[in-house]
Amino acid sequence: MRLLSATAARLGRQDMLQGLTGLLAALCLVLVMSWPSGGAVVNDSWSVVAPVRAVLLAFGALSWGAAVGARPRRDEMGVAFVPTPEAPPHGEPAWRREVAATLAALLAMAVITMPFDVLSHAAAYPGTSLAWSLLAPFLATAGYFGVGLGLGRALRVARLGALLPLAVPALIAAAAWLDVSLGARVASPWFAVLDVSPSFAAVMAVAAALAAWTARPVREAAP
Amino acid sequence: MRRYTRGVTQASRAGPRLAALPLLALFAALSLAGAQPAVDVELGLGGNVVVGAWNPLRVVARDVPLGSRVEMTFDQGTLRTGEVPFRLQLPVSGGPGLSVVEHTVYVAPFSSVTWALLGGDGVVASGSLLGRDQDARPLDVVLSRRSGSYTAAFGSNARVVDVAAAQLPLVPAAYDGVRSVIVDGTGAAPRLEALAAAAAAGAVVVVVGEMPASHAEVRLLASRPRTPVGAGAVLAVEGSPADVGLAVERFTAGRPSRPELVAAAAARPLVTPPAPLRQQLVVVAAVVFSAFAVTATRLFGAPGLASALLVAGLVSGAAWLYARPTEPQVVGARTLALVGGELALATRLEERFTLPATTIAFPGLARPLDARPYLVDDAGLRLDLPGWRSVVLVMAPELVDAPLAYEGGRLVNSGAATLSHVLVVGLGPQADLAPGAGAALSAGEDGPPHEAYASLLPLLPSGSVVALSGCEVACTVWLAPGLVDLEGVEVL
Repeated sequence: MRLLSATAARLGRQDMLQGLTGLLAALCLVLVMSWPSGGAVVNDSWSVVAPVRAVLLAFGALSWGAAVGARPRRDEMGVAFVPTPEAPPHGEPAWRREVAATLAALLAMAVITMPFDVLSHAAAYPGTSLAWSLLAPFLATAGYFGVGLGLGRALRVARLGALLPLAVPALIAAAAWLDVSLGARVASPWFAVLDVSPSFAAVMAVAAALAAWTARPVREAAP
Repeated sequence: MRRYTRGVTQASRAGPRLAALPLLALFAALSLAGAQPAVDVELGLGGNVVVGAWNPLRVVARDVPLGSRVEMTFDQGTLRTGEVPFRLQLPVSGGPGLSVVEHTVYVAPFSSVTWALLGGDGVVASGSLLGRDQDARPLDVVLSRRSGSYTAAFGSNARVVDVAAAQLPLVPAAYDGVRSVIVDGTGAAPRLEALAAAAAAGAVVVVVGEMPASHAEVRLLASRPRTPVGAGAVLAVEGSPADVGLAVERFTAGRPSRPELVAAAAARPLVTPPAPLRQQLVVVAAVVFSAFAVTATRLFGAPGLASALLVAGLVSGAAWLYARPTEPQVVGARTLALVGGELALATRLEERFTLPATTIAFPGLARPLDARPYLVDDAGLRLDLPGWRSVVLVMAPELVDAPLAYEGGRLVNSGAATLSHVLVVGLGPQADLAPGAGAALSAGEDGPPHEAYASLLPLLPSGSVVALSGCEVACTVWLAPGLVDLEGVEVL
């Protein structure tokens, strides 16, 4: 119940609410544009809706993961700095709770956008199973959130935090480039969602485990 | 007669020629000669390929390894389309002695044909046939010692071939590219089944003059001047080779072209793809759901989020139920049956519309209507089809019992199914015929013809009878070209 409340509170904050609204609006647009109209009968909407949904979820997860991961530690802030409750310093129990709430909110976004995937899958009747079509975006969301945590922390440690807005889309593009050059479905959610990929599932599962380990609850230090 | 034959000799003929062991050397050489693999591949009747028709294929292999297989690749591509391969893979039993494989294969216009017999660890024999050797003209098969006179009588445009009686196949589909079979009794007697198969498949079998005693069976077949058999007929003709040529020309001129009939029957879609949900409905549902999800999450906190998640699950279930087509493939079929006498030559067309990308498998002799890559082996036909695409498969023609006859001025249904939408070209629609029932011809008002045969009517001569049966599952269109002579008919 506490996790649900924390998730709702996190999802209700302006940044994620706008992200959810934008995601739903983008999916509505893509669904309408790819749905057959007039006398057309060929319905290939799933091959557009599913990759767009998976990529947008992964992009959001990477962005929020990097933002949370790049949060400064208390000792980096200076003595006079008092953090707000919405932005606890890195590594503290409150920060871990925020990591868990953000991850849960991202997974809730994946559930809320699920009908778009199911509808287009049902109508388009692709060869890929519905189970994978639903599982892959969840894996991508959790996995890219874990990658984002690592990316944000790495840029903070390297004192390259200013590059964060560039690093996030660059990483998504690099994942696509890697898959194209390897001819495999390993990193990019765009290609991975179109066909069952055990290697993508393994990579994302490792990254998701990193995120879950980071979000684990720890006891408050005694005052 | 052309034979596209290659043989490959693998074993060396060299043997020891020691002066002290001549007998041993002889035995060794004989045993090596006996192990030489040799392969003859003959495509078409007597090696004469007819493009755009089913052709007999005969592979004779000698002393090839056990478990060999013959592979033929027909490249049906053009400069514009690139390579469009049709691959044929047939098992060859192999072992010492002869192994014979017979098959019937549809030969579309091709740019090249290559074949190889694979056995053991490699290629035992191989060969090729160039695209310039293809000819779409039907064959006039002559079983006579005077084939030259028939060649002269039929003219330069005809494709007269001299074939031994023993080479005639017994399968009707193998005569798809044959226009006529001429028997004048001067050669060896052909088998009755072969002539019947040729006539039923649409060829005109001409029995010229009196038959000798060795051709007694053939004499039985030509007891009347003209005997319709399936899609063809048997004609008894007295006269010179020129008279025979004239009789063949007259007969074929009054018959509809079977390839044209098949193309016309396949011109209309045989399946109706599933209709998608209306775009407006999808838009409204997506926008309403999105607005609800955002509003509930923003305004009602944890209960709102829980509601949004629950509604998302319910909407997903509803979308799956209402938007999912019931079957991944839609199959529609129509059979075209050309009636002649008590037999009919049936060609089944089957359209398969697939939603997900798949491999279509059909156990039997079939070919796609249009040029596309496919594979035929002893299990049947296989071809890859992308999602939301269809293919029309044309089965090899086969013989069935004909239910439609015209006896004593009445149309008679001798079959087990009702013949509906009966129509006489030039006279109009007729009453439906129940099994075993007959009806006199009547002049009726022409309404719009049934869509199953509407496209065929312009190809049929006056007096042809058309009827349908089995339309609950897949219509069979019975066509009896020129069955009724409208000039002498009494109409109610």
